[in-house]
Amino acid sequence: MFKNYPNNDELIDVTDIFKNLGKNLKEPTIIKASYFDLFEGTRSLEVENARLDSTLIHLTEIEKNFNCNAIIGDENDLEVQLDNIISISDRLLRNVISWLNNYQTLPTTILSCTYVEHILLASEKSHKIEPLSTGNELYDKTLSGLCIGICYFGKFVLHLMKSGVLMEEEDLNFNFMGLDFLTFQESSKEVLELLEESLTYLDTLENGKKQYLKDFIRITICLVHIEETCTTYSTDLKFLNELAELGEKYNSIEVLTSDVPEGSFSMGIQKRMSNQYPPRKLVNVTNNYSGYKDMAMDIKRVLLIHEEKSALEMLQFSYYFGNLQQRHVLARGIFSLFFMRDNLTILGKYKMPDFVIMQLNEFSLTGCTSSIENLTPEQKLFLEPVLEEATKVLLEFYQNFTQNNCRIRQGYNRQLLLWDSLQAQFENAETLLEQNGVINVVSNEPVVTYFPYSLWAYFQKVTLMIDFVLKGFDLEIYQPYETFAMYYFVYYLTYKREYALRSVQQFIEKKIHSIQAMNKKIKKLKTVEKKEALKVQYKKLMETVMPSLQRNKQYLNFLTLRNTITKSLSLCQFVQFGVLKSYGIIDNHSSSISEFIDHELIHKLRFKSFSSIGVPELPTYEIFESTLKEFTLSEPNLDSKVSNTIGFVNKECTKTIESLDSILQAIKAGDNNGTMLTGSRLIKEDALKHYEQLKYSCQDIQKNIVTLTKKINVISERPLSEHFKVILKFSDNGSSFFPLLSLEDKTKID
Amino acid sequence: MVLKYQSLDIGNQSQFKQIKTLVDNDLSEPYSVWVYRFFLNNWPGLTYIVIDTELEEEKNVIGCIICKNELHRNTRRRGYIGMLVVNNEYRGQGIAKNLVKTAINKMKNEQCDEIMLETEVSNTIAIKLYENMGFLKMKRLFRYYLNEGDAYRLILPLTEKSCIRSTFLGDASIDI
Repeated sequence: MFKNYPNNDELIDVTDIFKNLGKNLKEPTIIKASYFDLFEGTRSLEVENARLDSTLIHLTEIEKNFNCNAIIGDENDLEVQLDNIISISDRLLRNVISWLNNYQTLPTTILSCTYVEHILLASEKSHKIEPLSTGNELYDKTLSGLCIGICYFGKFVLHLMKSGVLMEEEDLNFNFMGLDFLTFQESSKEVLELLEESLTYLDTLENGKKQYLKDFIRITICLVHIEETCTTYSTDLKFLNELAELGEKYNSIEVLTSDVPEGSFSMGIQKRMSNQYPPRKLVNVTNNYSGYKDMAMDIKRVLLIHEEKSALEMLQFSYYFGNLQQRHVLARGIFSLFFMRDNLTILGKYKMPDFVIMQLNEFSLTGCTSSIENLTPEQKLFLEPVLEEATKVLLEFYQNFTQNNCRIRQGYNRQLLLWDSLQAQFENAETLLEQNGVINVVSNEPVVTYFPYSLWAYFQKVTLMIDFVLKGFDLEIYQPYETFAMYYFVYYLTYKREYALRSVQQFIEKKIHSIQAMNKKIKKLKTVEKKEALKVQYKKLMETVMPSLQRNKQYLNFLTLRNTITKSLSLCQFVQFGVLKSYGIIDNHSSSISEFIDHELIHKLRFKSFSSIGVPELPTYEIFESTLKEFTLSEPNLDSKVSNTIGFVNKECTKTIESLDSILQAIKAGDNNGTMLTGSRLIKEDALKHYEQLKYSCQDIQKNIVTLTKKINVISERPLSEHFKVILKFSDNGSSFFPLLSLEDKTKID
Repeated sequence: MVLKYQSLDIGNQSQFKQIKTLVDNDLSEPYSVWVYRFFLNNWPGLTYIVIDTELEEEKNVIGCIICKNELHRNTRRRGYIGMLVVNNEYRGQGIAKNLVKTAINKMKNEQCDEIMLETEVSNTIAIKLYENMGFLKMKRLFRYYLNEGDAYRLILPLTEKSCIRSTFLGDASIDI
């Protein structure tokens, strides 16, 4: 079971010591190491327990005696040998996808191949790559090359795991069974040479089936090259394109050959090697070659970020890449390392502090007196420590988009506090700057000043709050009765965000006007020197600051429209809830009767993440309750009031669809319409999909509210809650952030 | 059939074996004897069993709930439901609900601020049972179980402390 099992003379008999110590133990005593907690316990093994003891795995005689250096079947029959190697290679390549795309474990996929285990053990022993030595080149070159190439690719995956980008077990299983995954192999050179040699050999064969193996070797070569995205930060798409093509080609081929030779894949490694996991059966993998295409396409998508032209494009890319759907595990890992590099730069182009300023300039800092380049060394001292903190927070913000879907929401939760604290720190620094005469004036009467740094942190925080709540719908966290509170809160937050956007807009407008006014001022000046000096200043501002301000203005137009869309959709959702509440079908509390239910406490627990946030303040429980009352309709003329509400929802959705169409047009036109900047050039397809989904949601809501009232009107007996149950329905084309409040007939459900 | 709800007798090996068999047969997650001992020996008063008094003593345990109660991040007392199982043949009689109620009451008496548990996303019956008792889904956990399924973490709040991040209850680390 253990590789370095000690010799007999190194072993000591501890039976008596153990028994003597055990005698004094009382019944409830547990012996454990201090670090051994419940989590460790749930992962612990148990001797003689069939579900937890891998030494109890039963192996056939063929599995036990399988010799990797022997040829299977008639060695002179090329057809037989080709079939053997094709079937083993095919299964191994399908296992790679099963491991990466379907989250199976390493020992039940790649390491279940007896040849892989053999080669890794032999290579580790001699500290160099050890191919098979059967005397048959199909085994020694082709199968060996394939196994070694996959192991080398495994080494790269291990590197991703070790760099902390992916979560062990959750995102990927790398139970390497104590084997060394070619860590001594410093570069891919030797592995690629081996694979090329194999191709050369295959070319000499006169049998049509060799093409399968040539393609399998090509797939392996592509896998080996993937590490270059993180070693040399290569953006060459050649191998990814080829991988996608081959994945597609083999996806349409149902069965390649007969079954794999017995013993070539086995649970044996789980029994033989150092295994810290319970036994797991091998998975019967069907054709999954399309998984290579999925993987290649997602990695290709990651590399596109290299073509960014602004901080805005990086931001939008990350948002659409991570927040809307879970990407391939390797793509997520590569994105993190490709974007935030070992040399502490972003994409190898920007130093971290510059990156923060770039983000700030895209939003609120352009043209400000408090821009870092306008400050004296003493004034900079107020800001620099906070900017350092901002760098850390911003990197965590970007890193979060590479997490799995569930972790992204947890990341938002954690970041709320970070951005909240950052906002407070910026406010202190900007107050100090103001006291030192660094003032960004929005208006003189009354005096309104502008804090671009804290405003940015505030905007980011409120956006995270909204995203956190909406992601809960996507992950199906909420019960239907919670819908009112969640969407009302989002609606409330969009108001707060709107205010922040308006503040930035006001400042930008003022700045643009003040630059434009300089032209008139020049004409009024009497001395030539003064005229010339102002002309120079005007020209400089027109060339440098004005384009950025115009850009900011267009970006703010987009953000404002996006905010309005979220606001309207949330409003429509909780207005629908109000209609259902009006008929007594749903309430904003659990309808269950239990001695443990305390509605207010449950509400407070749901909003726990926001309870410590001072600005924007969390509305009280009473406000949530009274707001719902305002949206609950009652007799007399209930049906007429409902009809008006339907009209209102319809109108709101129609307006929202128009806004969505504007955004869709801007994205399609590549932001060239001059009014809106979406920054989605590099991730156009995903951005379009997101707004199309929102558009479907609007249309679905319009249909839904009519359906709801029709269903209600059919039933004359009351209470309606006995007839219907509200469910959250996810439509195929709509957005998962806005599921529909649908009615289900209770008799059908129960 | 006459059912009897009672606390576990920690010295009763038969009860221990029956609990283990019951859980092993029903839950997807395989647990070592250590896990059972961790719960049972540390919190013997927080394991309840249901006995069908008409059956032989060696096979009369038909349901159980296994819990613990610990201080979470030094700030709030958290009860935890580790396992809940009812023999297939006895389901649909409210036994699980009774077991949960008994355990919650006990943990409430022990000054717990909240009760927490995890359950598979696909286990809609369990989710419904807990939600009907006031539990709230707080998080979704990606591929939480060995069978690769996602889980929900649910919490039942018992005091105001449950509704405040532990960071603001005196703990320095960030509660996620």
